[in-house]
Amino acid sequence: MSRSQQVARPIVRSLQQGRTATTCQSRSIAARQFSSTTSRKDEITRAEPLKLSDIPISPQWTPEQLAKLTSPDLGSRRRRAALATTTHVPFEQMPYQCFQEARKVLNEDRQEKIAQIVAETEKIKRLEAADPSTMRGGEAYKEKRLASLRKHVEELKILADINDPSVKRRFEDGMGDMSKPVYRYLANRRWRAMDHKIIVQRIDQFHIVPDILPKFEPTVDVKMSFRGQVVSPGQFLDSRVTELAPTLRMQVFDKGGRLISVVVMDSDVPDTESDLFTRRCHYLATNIPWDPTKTQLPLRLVGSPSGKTGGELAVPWLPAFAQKGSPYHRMSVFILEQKAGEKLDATKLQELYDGPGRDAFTLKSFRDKFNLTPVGFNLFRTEWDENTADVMARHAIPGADIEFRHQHFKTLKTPRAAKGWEAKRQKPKFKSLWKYTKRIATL
Amino acid sequence: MHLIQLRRPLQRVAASSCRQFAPVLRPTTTFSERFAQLRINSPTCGAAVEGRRYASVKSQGAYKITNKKTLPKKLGAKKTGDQYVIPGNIIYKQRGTIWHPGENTIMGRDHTIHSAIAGYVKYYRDPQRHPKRQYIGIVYNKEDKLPYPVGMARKRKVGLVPTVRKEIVVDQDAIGPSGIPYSVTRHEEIDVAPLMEGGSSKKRAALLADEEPTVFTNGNSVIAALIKQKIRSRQQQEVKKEELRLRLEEELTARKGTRILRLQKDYSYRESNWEIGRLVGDPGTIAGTEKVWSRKAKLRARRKKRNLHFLDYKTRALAKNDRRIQYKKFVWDKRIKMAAARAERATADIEKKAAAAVANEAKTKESKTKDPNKTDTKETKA
Repeated sequence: MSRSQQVARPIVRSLQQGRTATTCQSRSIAARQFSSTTSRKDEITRAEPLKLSDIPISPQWTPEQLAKLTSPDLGSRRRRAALATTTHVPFEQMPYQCFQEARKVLNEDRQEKIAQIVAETEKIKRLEAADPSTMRGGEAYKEKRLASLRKHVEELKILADINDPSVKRRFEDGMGDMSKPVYRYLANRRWRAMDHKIIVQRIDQFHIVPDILPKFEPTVDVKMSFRGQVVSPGQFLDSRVTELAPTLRMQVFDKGGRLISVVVMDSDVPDTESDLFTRRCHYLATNIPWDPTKTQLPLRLVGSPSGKTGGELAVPWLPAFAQKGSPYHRMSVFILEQKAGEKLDATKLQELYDGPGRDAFTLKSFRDKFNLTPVGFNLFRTEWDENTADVMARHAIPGADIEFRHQHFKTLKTPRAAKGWEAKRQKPKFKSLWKYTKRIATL
Repeated sequence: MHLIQLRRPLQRVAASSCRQFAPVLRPTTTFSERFAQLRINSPTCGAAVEGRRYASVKSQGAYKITNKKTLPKKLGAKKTGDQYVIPGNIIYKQRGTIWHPGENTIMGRDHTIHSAIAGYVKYYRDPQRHPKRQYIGIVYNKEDKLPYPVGMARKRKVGLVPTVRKEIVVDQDAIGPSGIPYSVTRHEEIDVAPLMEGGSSKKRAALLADEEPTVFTNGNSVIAALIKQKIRSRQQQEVKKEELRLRLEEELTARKGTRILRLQKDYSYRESNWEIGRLVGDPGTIAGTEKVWSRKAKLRARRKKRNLHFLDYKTRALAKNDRRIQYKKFVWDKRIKMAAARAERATADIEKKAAAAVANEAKTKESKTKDPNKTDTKETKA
């Protein structure tokens, strides 16, 4: 190959690439809605002039008219030039020297990491095959070592891909494959940056932690939407909005499938007889299969025969309501992870918590009884509003006719003789002034 | 009032007129001097009329302004530990936060600690919360100790009394218990000038009818069509605005025509005062009812209005942008769908054609192979 050929090679290659790309694939239509990266021309611009098929057809336009509209002769000089010269170049082959050099460095690093992964996995295999009695620490040492090695491999898997620009791009476009550790890692990092902090703050400021659970650290991203509207944690919601069960948008960040239970409970039910606040179960579903690739869980569809969500419904949705005059009710949504391979008996749960059992619900006992770990949390608040009475009537919930008023405490001051002008003129002698002196609240 | 007091002004006038003669004799006096003498409280006449004067201001040292700094502030604890309190009771008055509000207590504007519940006062420290601060809290049971152990559910009481909820009935009975209506509505016939005979609607109809398919001869015609469309839509909008204005006017006239007479306590029927006032027109619309504002107030109002306008402008612009984005998305989706459909159709066509071609080939082959057979059969038949 001559020197001149060597020089021209990348250009020729890119041109060839462009030609093949245009022939084999007329246009790549990628719907990118959530991208923060700058859009690239290869996705929208086209190498060929506008085709008839590209234009939405209006009944008024005849094909001839359309052909004229789309002809490459129409438009500014710049447009025509752009139409004539744009080619399709894939993201990895963008002809920027710095970019390509950087890619080389990253690739080297990746190969290094992959080699390390291979070495570590071999080490794990060897260790697994080894007899623990030969080791100084015995079985415990072996288990500990294995766990640490596996953790290291997981870290290496993330490190191998974390610097890849295409990985970053795909993640930001929302196209990341959550079954891969690197995308899970990125998603977790993004969640921890803000949403997790908000949830932790809500748990603290609404006293979820001492009131409902003594200790709780959320590890699952749970977002909630009613009627398609995403609600922020702790928001006051109208009782008509919360009449139907919400849809949860959940993201778990650790690998593998599992079964989860979902609980929605009210922790501020006033009980005037005992003068204490009690709890009420508003919803309980169990055995819902979940993994990192799943995102949407419409609570309405859990347990329905045609539902794709799977799982069993133990306690159906009861609309959130608060009687008039009662302070706001915290409606908390808890995601509880079941032990691996353990299925809960939905009928038993129904017996326990449905009907009259709703009022006796406590999350702590539920967690302990069925060996669950709370992992996700979200919450909304509800108050009496103008629609609550209707909602309660529609769902045959009693208690809409009650209004709570503040308890009145007798003053601790000792009674004193009334003083002043009015007090002096209370006698029948001043009967003509009674209209001014008799109707005074303080006397 | 004493007679002497009543007589005083007259006496004064008399006195001043008596003294007039002397200056008249003196030619050198000026006008100002003469007017000074005419003044009622001129020093020359006052002493003679009023007699003896007493001190109206106390002499020095008789009173002094009380020193606010030495006034007792009455700070300190108003309730001791374990004492029963009810909501709102003051527990501690202080300057600054000597004591901090703890469990079930509220701190006021001047750092006064109030109780928020009915219970027993506890003075305590909570090193988990803050290493140095001292707190005042209230507990429900006298035996309880503060602070409560970490991780324990909060102790709360409802403190509410259930009562029957009163439905706020907006629509009252039309007839009172005494059998006469609470209000009487009187519709007065008012001569209203007839509206333009459906002028606006006619105009609008004409505008709508005007729409005709545009012919696209070149790129400029597209733009011309767009401009035309824009102009038409603007005209339509104007027509709509005009219609709205007319409707509002009609409503106002109708309102002026109807009068609601309400039953009063003395069983008379009359309109309420504000309604009578509104008959002339809404406040601000009648000449002379505008508020007379100070210069500053005017400026303030103007600024507010301007800000409002700009805020509104921003929201409008954002809404428009949203609409634009939505429309673009819609168009883009539609295009993608149509392209997909077209591609499918094309592939189907190609497949069909291919199938047809294959079938044709097969037919021709068959016919080629069958021909000798046919002849054979014919031969055999023959």
